Amino acid sequence: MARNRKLLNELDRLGENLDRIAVAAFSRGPARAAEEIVVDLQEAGPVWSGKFSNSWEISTSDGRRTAGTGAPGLPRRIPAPLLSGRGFAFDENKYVISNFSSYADVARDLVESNYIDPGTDPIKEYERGTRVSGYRGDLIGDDEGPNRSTAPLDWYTTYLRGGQIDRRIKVELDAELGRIRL
Amino acid sequence: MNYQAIRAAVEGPLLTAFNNLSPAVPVYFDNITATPPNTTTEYVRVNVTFGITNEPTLTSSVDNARGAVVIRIFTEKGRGPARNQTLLNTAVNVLETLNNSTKSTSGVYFKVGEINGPTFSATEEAPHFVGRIETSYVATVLS
Repeated sequence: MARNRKLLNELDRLGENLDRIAVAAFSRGPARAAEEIVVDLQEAGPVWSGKFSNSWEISTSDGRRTAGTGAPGLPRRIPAPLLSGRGFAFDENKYVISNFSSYADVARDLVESNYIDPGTDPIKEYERGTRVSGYRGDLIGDDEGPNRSTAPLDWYTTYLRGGQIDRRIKVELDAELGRIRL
Repeated sequence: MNYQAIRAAVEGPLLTAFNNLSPAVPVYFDNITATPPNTTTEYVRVNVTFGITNEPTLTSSVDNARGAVVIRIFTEKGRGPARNQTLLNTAVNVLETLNNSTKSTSGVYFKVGEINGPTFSATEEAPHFVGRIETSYVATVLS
């Protein structure tokens, strides 16, 4: 009888440990994915002065937030805030990634704008062309023309809709689950 | 992988639909010079981009691709959104029709996802009012 109770207690403890490990893995996985998504966006997007690339922010559904400095310079990595237990358990949208730069929509090719070449070279490699419409990346020309762009047109939509973001989330969740040692 | 066939699967029907309007509305695709700036002529821009190719979990076929279709409608500024939305309807109808097609044994099987938008914008300097929609797609080359 006593032996059976001991066995049941050990099984209970094992169950609790499994729960804790699983919650930790599932909580760290999305955080890692959010961090890597920002890195992907920084790599895929335009980088002229670096202000836009350093203006990404990651916030959780329970109000925690980390953000870039918004300052010029090479794009810097942002650590993602960890979710609270409540946020992990109940909130459907656990992380929100956004960009707080004033010209975020222009940089993402979502709206038109006017452009003035600052005359300095951008941080990232660029292509030349002639801008067709008011969209940032809407250049045409075989790397010749008066306008410059450091990211292709619709880079943001392509990342979101072309499957890369799904793959990034899967890779990070798989990696986190792979770290579990029972 | 036949990227050109995938591109044609969405560009062809859009071109036909806008050509069939009266008057026809010019459609410009990637790497084609559109109407010169500062004219008020209405036109359509279609950009097809490619994301992941041959994703193993997508289908049993290894000839598949995912990507995005972005359609921008340029109409005259200062005349309200009606004309722009009429042209957007044409684009959305084409995308919806693509989803009605059935899978055959050859060609390209092309399906779009949810359509995001339309969003509208206009700047002070540019002569156009722009409506924009975007969607994802999954395409499988069957032959």
